[in-house]
Amino acid sequence: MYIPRTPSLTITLVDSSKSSTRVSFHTPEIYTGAQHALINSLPTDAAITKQIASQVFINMSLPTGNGNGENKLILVFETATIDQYVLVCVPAPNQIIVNDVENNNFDIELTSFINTLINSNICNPYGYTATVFLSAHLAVASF
Amino acid sequence: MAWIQKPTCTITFTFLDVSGSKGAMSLDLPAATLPSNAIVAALRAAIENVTDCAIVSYSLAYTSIDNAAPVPGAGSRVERKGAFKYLTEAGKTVTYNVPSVAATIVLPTGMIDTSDAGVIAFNTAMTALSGFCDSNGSDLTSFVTAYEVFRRTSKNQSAV
Repeated sequence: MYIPRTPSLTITLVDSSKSSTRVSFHTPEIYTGAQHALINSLPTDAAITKQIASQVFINMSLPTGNGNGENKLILVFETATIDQYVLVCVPAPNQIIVNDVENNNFDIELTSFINTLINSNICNPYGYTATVFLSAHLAVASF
Repeated sequence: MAWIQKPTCTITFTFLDVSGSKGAMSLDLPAATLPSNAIVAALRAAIENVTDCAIVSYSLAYTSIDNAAPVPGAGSRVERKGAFKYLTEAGKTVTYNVPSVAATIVLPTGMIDTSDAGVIAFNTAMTALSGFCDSNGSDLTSFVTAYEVFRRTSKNQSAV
């Protein structure tokens, strides 16, 4: 069961020495857009450059992990725009998935996962949505 | 000042492996995706199916950037802060530190001038109904006090 924590609004400020810092406020609901009322009234001499509204959900079942998180499954997707790709990196893929990738023979688990990713409209940071699965790779990379 | 919302929001899953190490996996989704969207739960379940790690938490973040950020005020320093204390609906106090609090609103005593129009506007925004709350979700109901403090928040950096 995942329990939502209180959402927060984190603001980044830069001063005249170019030092930056962040300050976080909590909000009853997550704000997916700009919170101009607070931003405009913040009594500061520094410049406000960025704001991030976020919410964390905690798994309350105290899970214990298996596998090695440094093993990664990397999936590459094409988007409808040339030279724009979406990369997905999953830590500690299970053995079924590893076998699928090593044998280049995808069973229902990996196919289902890929379809879920595409149906979720995952995109790259520029907003280009993944449309076609391109390739899958296994890698070892530190956290 | 023009706040531009990024075209995507970022969903970040935190993983726990058998050694107790934690790692993260981030995906970008359309900015209109809310935590309550069924797609979020479907994505989480799909990831749980393909990894041996346990997912201990996940978060969604929506970023806006000022594409014409104003120049910081002369002499502004993020280490000089205004500590604003509020009373919550639950009767607890919570303090927020405003970096580089405007020098013009700091009184010689070190207290913040609470009669200043800017401070009043800020306190109004903070205590507006369903505006802001503490980490328990309890609404901020009233302003208590505000004063100047000095706290390190960044690595040493030359001003020039």
